[in-house]
Amino acid sequence: MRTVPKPFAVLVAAGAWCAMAAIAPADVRITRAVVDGREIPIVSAAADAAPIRVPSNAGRILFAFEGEAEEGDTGRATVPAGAAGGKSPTLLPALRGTRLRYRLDGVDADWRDEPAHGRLSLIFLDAAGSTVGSSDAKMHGTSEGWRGQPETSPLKSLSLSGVAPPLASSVIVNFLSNGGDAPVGAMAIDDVVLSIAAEGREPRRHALSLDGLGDEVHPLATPTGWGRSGSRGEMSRVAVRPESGKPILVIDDDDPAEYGSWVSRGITVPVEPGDVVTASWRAAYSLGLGGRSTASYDRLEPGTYWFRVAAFLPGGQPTAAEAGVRVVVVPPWYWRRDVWAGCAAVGLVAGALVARAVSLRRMRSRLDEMERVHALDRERARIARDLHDDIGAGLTEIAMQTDWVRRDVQGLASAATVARAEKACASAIDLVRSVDAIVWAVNPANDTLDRFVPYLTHSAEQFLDAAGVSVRFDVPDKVPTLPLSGAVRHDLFLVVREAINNAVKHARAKIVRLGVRLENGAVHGRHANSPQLVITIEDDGQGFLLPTSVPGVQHAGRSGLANMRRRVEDLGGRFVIDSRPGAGTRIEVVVPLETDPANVPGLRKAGTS
Amino acid sequence: MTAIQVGTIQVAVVEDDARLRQTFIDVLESSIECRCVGAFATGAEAVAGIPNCAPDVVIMDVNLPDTTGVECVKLLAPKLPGTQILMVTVYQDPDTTFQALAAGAHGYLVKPVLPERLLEAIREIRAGGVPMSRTIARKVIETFRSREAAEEAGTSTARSPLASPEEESLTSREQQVLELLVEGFSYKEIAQRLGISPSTVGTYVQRIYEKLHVSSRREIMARRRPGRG
Repeated sequence: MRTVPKPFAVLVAAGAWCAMAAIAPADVRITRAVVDGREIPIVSAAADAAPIRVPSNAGRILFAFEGEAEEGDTGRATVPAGAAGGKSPTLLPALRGTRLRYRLDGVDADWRDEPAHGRLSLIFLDAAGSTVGSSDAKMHGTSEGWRGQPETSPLKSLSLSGVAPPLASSVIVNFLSNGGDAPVGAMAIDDVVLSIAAEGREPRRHALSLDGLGDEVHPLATPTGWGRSGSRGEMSRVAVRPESGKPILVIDDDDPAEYGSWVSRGITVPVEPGDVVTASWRAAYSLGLGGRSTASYDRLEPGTYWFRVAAFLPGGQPTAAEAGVRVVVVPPWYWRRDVWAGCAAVGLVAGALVARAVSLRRMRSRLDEMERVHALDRERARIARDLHDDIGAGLTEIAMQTDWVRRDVQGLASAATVARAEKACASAIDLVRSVDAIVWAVNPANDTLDRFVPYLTHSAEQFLDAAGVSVRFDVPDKVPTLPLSGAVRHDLFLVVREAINNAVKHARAKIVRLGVRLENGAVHGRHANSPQLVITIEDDGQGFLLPTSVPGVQHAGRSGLANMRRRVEDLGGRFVIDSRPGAGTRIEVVVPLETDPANVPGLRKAGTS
Repeated sequence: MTAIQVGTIQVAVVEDDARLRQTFIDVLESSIECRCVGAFATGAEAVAGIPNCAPDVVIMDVNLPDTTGVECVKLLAPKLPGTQILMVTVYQDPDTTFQALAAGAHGYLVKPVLPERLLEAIREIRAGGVPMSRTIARKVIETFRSREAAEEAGTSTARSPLASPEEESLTSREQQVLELLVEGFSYKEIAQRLGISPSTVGTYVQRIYEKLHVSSRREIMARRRPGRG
């Protein structure tokens, strides 16, 4: 029977308790609050600090928080060099890190830390040893009867099944402290037993036992066939349970940025595709959020809330360290312009509803208005969803069917008939894309510049590729997360789309260049010093005489220009067009971004091609 | 009724709209080389049913009523190593498209998917041709770059314990191909510049996708850790 080396056993126990008693209260901070992609500054987390104010039509509020244990006596135990066999002098038999929990008073009934977990995975390998599939079981929270360390905590029976995928020829087990948001804590398992069942065959059993450890089990010993892995191997150790004298595989994870793992790489357990593999093991664990994490809440009702983050000791005992921030959800008493514009863009259906809502709203008191704003916001979301699911899907169906008709009649019907089917199909495709653009624009999750720019380039690319026109981009590698409302996004998108459309349809360009950059400067006095977004669309097409150079003459196909100019100027921006017959066209759109320039990283960053 | 012919491409469809689902089935059944082996309206049905019908190609809608197409790909891709997943995305959503590709999809189609384009895409993907747009290429570069930065800083947890560094970083040739894609060159133009055949460019792109899959499939959770890549 195996025995625990005495000095080590004492250290383990002492270390664990020492850690709980000695860790100084950790530093806990709420670092960010983000409402629908917009950063809300947190001035102070003190109880009497000004609350964060959030309009009730906000979709999602997200908090980011972090915390760390103070340096000092963290209960790290050092194993005497002799006992460690001279291999490594330092071990981490005790838990040190801080565990974070959060709650939103008024919504959550208790502290929460669910986004972190450890795992046991079945990994299927092919004959060459490459992964072809896997199944995971999560170990989350604290196992029943946890007593501060895995050696003395009761073990809980767990199991996991997975089907061997095609090409699988063997299966291994990976036990790791890595899952979700940066877990810290301790976890341990004993022998893993694999049962492999296939139709028409007796199930086979393979015990991945912890053998070859010798009589005196050293924490750094390695059971036959098992191996340490993970980003920090020394988090993985072997221990012996005093009650039974049996070894267990332990992972002490005290660092949210790292993880430990035990892998049964050296034990070959053959499987065939289709086999059902069931792993059974017993585990003790206590894992929680370490380091940093985020929590988000959707559509809070008007009222006052208190978001709190607290540090807990690894065993779950609270500490004095806590941070909080007050959140007041305020119903707006005026209508947000972008909501209006978004709704208006939704078209006839939305228009009718908005109009009805407007006329009703005018007759009501302010209190009633607030309720309506809320209801209309939900309505906006519903209309967007219906537009996408119903009208979008219907138009897609029409596009597919008319294209099919075209294919069926090709060569049989007259060219005019084929052309009519083509035209119907093209119209349906345009409408599908318009609906998508509206749905995208009204989604508050897309209200930032770094969402808008890839959207713009991706759309331009799709459109120009389909038209057989080359496109070159001059766009910064990294676009800052600046707020950009749905209305602005939609207007800018339509202007760029129109410009590209003109380049393809009227100018017959071969290459279109699309540039996006941020600049300091003022478009108009009231926007002095705000950053401005500059979008350029250049083509090598045939160009044209600018309408202004021939007063009173509206160029065929160029009526869109006035529209583009109006849209940009309505945004407080500037629209510049330069074109000459035979010399291509260049359009520059400059719009101010309503933001403090001090908060804009990467401003005036040079573009790349 | 229909016997499975040798060489027939077996296709499963995941689409929540009943009309569209039927049209997809009709288009597939109208062609001689494809056969629809399953059609599913929800993510849950797809995850439960697709492994049983073992299709060669899955046509997956990006928006599903109970989950997202991306989540579905995450669940299905590890179970179906021989299956290629074609994502049907909305016109201008590079983020979701990229997430789907990172999760294990092999290509994407933009709605509305016309019948001929659908069949062509299925043939292409079976032949090993995979598309990569500039915006997607740019995102791939960003992903690998930020991961390398995190590894250099010694803070990365994204690396799987089972993957060697070669499995998860790009070769200089793959890097070159990506950079040319970002600049807007077609497969053909890239092939000319690098003195290789267009199909080799396709092979490089396929390998880049595989590297993206390997890392994200194995350590999807690790990558969600805040502050890291």
